[in-house]
Amino acid sequence: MKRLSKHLLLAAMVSLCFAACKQDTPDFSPEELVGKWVCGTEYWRYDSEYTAYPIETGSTVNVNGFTWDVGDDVQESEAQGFQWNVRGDQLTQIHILQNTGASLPKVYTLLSVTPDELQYRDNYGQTFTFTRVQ
Amino acid sequence: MPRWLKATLITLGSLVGLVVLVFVLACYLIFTPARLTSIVNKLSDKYILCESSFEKVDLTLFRTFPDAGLELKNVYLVNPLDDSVKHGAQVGDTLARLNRLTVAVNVRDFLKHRDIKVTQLLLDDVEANVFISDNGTTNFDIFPPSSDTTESEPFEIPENIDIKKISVSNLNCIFNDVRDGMKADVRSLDLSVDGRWQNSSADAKLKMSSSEVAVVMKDSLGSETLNALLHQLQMKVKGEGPLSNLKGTLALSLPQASVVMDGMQYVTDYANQQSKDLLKVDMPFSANLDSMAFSVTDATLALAQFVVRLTADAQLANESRPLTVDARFSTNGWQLAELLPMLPAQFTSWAKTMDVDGELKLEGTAVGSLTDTTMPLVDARLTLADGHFTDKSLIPYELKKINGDVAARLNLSQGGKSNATINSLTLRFNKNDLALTGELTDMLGDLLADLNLKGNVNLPDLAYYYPESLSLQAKGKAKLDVNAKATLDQITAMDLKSMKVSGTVSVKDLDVNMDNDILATSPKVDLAIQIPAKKHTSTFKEMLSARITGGKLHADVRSSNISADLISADVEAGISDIMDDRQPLMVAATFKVDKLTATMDTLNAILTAPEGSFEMVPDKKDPAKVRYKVRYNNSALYCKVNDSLSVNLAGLSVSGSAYYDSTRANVLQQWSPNLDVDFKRGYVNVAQLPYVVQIPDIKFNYKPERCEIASANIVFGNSDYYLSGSVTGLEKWISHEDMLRGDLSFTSNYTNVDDLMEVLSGLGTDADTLEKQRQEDKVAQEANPFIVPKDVDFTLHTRIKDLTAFGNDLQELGGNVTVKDGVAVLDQVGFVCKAAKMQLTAIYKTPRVNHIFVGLDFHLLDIGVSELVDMIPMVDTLVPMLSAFDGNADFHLCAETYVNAFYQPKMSTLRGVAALTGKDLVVLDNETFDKISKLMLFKKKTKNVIDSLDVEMTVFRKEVEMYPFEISMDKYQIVASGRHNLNNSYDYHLEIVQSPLPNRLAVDVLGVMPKLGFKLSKCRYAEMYKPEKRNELQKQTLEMKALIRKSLEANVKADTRQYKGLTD
Repeated sequence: MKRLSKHLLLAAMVSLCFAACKQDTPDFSPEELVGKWVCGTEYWRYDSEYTAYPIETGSTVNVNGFTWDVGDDVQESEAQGFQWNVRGDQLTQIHILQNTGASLPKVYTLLSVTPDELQYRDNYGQTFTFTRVQ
Repeated sequence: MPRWLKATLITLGSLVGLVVLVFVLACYLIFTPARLTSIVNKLSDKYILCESSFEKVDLTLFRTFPDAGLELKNVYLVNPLDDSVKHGAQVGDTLARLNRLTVAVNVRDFLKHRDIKVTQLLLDDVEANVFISDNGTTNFDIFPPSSDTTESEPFEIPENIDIKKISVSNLNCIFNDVRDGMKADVRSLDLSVDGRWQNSSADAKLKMSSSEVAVVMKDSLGSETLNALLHQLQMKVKGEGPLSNLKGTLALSLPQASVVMDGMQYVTDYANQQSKDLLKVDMPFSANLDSMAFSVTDATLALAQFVVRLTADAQLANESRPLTVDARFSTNGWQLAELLPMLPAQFTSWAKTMDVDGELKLEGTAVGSLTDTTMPLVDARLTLADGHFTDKSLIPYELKKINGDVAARLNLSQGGKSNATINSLTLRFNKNDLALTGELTDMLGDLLADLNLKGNVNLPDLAYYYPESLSLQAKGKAKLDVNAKATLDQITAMDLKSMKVSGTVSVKDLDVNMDNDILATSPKVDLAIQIPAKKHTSTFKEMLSARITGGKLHADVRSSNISADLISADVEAGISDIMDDRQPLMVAATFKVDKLTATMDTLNAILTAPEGSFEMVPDKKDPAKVRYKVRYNNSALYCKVNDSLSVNLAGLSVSGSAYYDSTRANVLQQWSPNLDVDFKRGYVNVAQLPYVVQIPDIKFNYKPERCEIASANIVFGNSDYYLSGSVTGLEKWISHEDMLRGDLSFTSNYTNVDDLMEVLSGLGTDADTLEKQRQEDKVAQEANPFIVPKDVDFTLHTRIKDLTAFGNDLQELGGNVTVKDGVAVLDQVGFVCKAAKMQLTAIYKTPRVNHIFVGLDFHLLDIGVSELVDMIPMVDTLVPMLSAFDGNADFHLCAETYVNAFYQPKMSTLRGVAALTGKDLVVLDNETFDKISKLMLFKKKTKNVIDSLDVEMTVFRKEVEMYPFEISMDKYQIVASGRHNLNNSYDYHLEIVQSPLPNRLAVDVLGVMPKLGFKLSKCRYAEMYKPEKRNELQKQTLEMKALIRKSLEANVKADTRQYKGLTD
């Protein structure tokens, strides 16, 4: 039992050492994302301005992003809206349900944003890479 | 005779003969022609102003015996006129030339009383040339004026006049009266007058004949007014008896003549070519000259073979009485075919194209006085026998067997009326017959005809009278019985509203073909017409009423593929004045049919006892706008379209009005109907539906822009609906100007939503548009999604006890269902299922056939978890451990996705957020709990109850992400989070944030169901529920959770939380 306690103490100290370290994170500018991006048949559009997005209850919600997948026979004019912002390397996208205006948040970690490529990763390690269309 | 007497007489005779012989010889010796001629010529110079010449004068006894005569031969009278008198007229100088002039005198009176009594005047071979100039100067004024200045005594008829003979033979005379414009030429005139007047008793004869008499008369302008030429004129007049009882005869014959008056020939060639005399008069007469009364008895006046027999009494007027007449007349049979050519052509021009014949007879009387105000009353009867008439320009058939009998009373007196009775007028044409009877009143004034026409007519024989534009063929036999009463003015003006007409037309074996399109047949149809109308509506004055009844009627309209059979039809209509072009045609009708069977294309209909009324009244100021009233009932109606649809109604009632305005945009706006409709006990069988739609009752009122549904009971399979409310804007909806709006209460004991969606799919979107969308979206034909009606805005206030939707059974629904312009929204403020209060807002939108939006906002309050999983199995997929709990929870779900035409979700569009809140949930004793309890070393007595559960999750495309939530049990506090894809690959994280263990422990659950693996993992949430210690990421996570929950709970209505099911 004493031996087990020593092991646990050692593990706790090691954990504390790791916890004390903080990784440096790059800052990304939202302007870098503005534009239309595509991955396969999936399109994402990040706007610099907000647009009134109609909700079936009759109201509107301002959004500054749209996504659609032509592989599912969805055109840009039929795209679904979302709100997005960038803080540091955190890309937060809040999808707005047309039904009631309910919010569906998604958070990603930006890996790189170049004029031609956008890459981010979700909290489960899945990486998404897009190329700029315009 | 005694001898002595005989001897005496012979002696006396011889003596007389001797004396006569001596006298004659003495005359011849004393009055020789030369001596007498000289005497006469000397006397003529004294008594005749013009040049005269007597070639020979001689005495004669033999020509004038027993009177002595003076015979003058070759008498010439020459009296030339100056050209200034003749003014260019062709006038010979010889006034007269007589071949012989003989004058006889009574010798005895001359010798006894010295009286010269002329007893005979004989003229032979006379040529005369009489002239009267334009100023009245004549060439026969040849005697010197009388020198006797004593006043002449009034003329008195001598007591005795004895003219044995006045004779003119072979007189040729030209009479030229320039002043009066008359010229006459008489050729070969023979005239003989014998007469005696003695003791107020006459005995006279006159004979006259001429080979030719020509008369020409001109008016003051020189235009010829008369040109008559009479050939072989002969006249004999004989009279005898006292003036109070003078009897005689007048006979006149004229074989040929020509009479032209004002350019019109009154005697035709045909008349002159007749074998009988052109004019022949044979008139026995008697007269009482004292009372001036005249009579003719059995007189005949004949124009060729046309004879008028006359027996008449007449008394001339004097100061105390008017002229009176009492006459009877009759004709022989006049053949019209022979009579018409006898008449002047100008009078018969109308008959040029006619072939007409028949035997006319006229008889009658004329009785009465002739004054300024009265005329004899004439009663006449005209009969026509065996006549025929042909005029192809009027009637394409020969009218045969024309027989007529007309009696007339002509009252020409002032204020009198002349009437006629048509006893009968019958005729036949082809196999048709017509009979006319009636009265004609005041024929010469305001003629009033009261007639009855009966007949039997084959309809094909009327084809000639159908308008050419109307390609109509009609077969059948019509029986007419029509009465008409109208004045001539009314007939001329076609003033139908003032006429009285009634009658029936009964048609047997009717077979009508109009333009080879509309065909109708009936064994018997009866039409009754009445003017003025039998009854009047309050809306307008009906001029005509007509009633059509028929036992059976079959009709086809080929162009529309319509076929109909009517049994016992009875239609009665009233029509306004059709001749009054100042007002539009107005119609009111009632109809009643025992049974109507009709087909149109694939539509078959049977109507039992349809009856009703119909009224059409155009606006007087604007006839294009018409007001209609309609009432319709039938006891049963059966309608079938192929095998796809059949409707069976026990009763249908429609009543209301409409106002037609052709200037409006669409058919509903044009008609503006205001109708009350009542369906009763209907059954609708639609092939696509596996059940019969029952309509126990539908009652609604439709007004412009608004339809008020009083009640509508419909049984749809197992579903039953009761609708009431209003639908508005149908007119503008049809014109695509506005949406169709409805606000209806929808009550149901049971409703199957799946059945409803199948029926309502695509309503309001025309088939072409849908098909075009299908082609553009490349949608397979097998796909048949429900298309939400476009251009409609309906709200259903539902009260449903039990409902089945997408396989789920729900109860006690109360809320609204709205369908607006392609979007269907189920907005239930609450309903109760087995274990919860629920609020559901579902949206179904069909912007494209292959792009259909489905949205769900679902709130279950205080629901049993197991019922929740049963009700929404997908919840178990989203929250797999939920099936391990029991108890009540609040569940909120908002999800949406687009689906394709096969209802397959487009995963890229799937979005969803959900929140689950539970307290005191019991963990079921199942395999998962066992694994956890063993792994976590739970106490054996630990209750399987968790204090609270607070789960938020999202669905994005194929990812289901569960935000960290805490579960407290025993001495453990566990936080779980993770994500799984809809392909069942899991990546979850379980972390013990509080336990008896010295260190925290985290486990990752990875893999694909059901093969999940567990492994130790790094702790993530140790400080999350310690506000003072949580980091930015954990703060953000909690903010996200709060955002999700807040956005979900914001849609829960207060009513839902208090909802306790449907209340009555």
